[in-house]
Amino acid sequence: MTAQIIAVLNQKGGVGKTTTTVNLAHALANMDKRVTVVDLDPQSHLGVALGEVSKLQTGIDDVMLGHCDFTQQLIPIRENLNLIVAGPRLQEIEQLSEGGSHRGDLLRKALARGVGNADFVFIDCPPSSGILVANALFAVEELLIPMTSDFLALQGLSHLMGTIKKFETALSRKYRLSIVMSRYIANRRLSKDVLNTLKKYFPEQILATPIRETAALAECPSFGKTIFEYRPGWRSAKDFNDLASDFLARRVM
Amino acid sequence: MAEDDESSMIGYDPLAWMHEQTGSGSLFPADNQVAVLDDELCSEQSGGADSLCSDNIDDTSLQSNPSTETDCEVELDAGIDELNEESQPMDLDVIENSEQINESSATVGNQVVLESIQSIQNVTVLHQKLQQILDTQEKIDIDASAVTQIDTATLQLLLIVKLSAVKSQKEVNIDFPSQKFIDAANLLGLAEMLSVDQTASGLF
Repeated sequence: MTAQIIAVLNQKGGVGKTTTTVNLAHALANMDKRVTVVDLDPQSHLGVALGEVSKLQTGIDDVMLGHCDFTQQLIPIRENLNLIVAGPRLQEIEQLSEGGSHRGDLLRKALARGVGNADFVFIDCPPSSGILVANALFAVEELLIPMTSDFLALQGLSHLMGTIKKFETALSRKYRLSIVMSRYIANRRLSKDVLNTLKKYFPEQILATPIRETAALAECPSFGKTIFEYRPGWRSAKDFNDLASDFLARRVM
Repeated sequence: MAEDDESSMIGYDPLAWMHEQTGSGSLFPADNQVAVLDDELCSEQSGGADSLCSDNIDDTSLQSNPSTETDCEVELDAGIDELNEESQPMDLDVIENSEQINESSATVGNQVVLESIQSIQNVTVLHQKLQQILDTQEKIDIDASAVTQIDTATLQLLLIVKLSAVKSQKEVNIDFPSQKFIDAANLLGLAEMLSVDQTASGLF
């Protein structure tokens, strides 16, 4: 079986990329799906959020540099859930200026060598528009875009869509694109207006369950826990369970 | 303005360009829309060159006010006048080498592809082309992937066009910048203001 590989990206910071990756992945793992999460952010926040804090542990950096295979770097971090950390050399890759088109193709080639027996691979992208994001866009066919419901996030999305469309043109293919509403504040008018705007431009592409803003989601990374471990009965855990179901069933707004 | 609903909390819709592109039947312009600058633009260039020689140059000069904050206040045409002031010694070249100017860039709908060498000699033509597009489109995509040489005048022009576009709630994007383009923009401290999209820099 071929793994479904999804890049979680948005060049705007603070929209919930890592929170979405960690908790959606764990929700899917709890549903007996085999999931691998890859930290493509040199800040290594994904690893930290899952309790893997070693700064020396190599990860996707060595895979992209061709020093080892993807499967060799898998860390079993929870039941059904594997992690590949960023690794100390990922920052070097971000700053590569030599190598032409080759430097954008490192991840695609690495994934092509095999990703193990995962059902889903989520790639948590950095909040930037650099070479690492380019690598993700070359490597995947599916994008998951976490969006907050504020104006600047819309502005950022406009920029991101410009980039995505340029890649689609250059690569002669369309991405399968989903949006997840993150940090959603239901009783704020602006949130509803942003959501309505998004529905207009992305019909059938916004996953049905918005992830509501809560303090618990902000707190759990510091304990290296997902929401299902930190506050299992709380509404955020329910939101992510529902989101995982939406993701599997392709249930949209 | 995206929202017809006056009570909307969103004043300006940054995604509006997506519907505009979709409305044209295709997200991307067809290849056969590619057109190198035509003779008409070249003849305009002669007029533009005449104007280069005029004494009617605004004092709000890029040269005399090099700070970026001041640049923000300079209107597009005034800024171009100033750029042209710098280019006066080359005016004759600009007129005589119209063929060379023709090849400074190509257009595809609202996309402009910069050719390899971008110098002060091309600034007037490039300005006219960008202004033409900006008059009719909401957005310009400037493909800078082929640039191997670019001078300060061209970078200043791009900056002014971008800032003018922002005032009109329009968008100017610089895509796939070559390493030379990025280096030059960084050297002048303009990379951030130009919002150079480095995602696909040098990859295509």
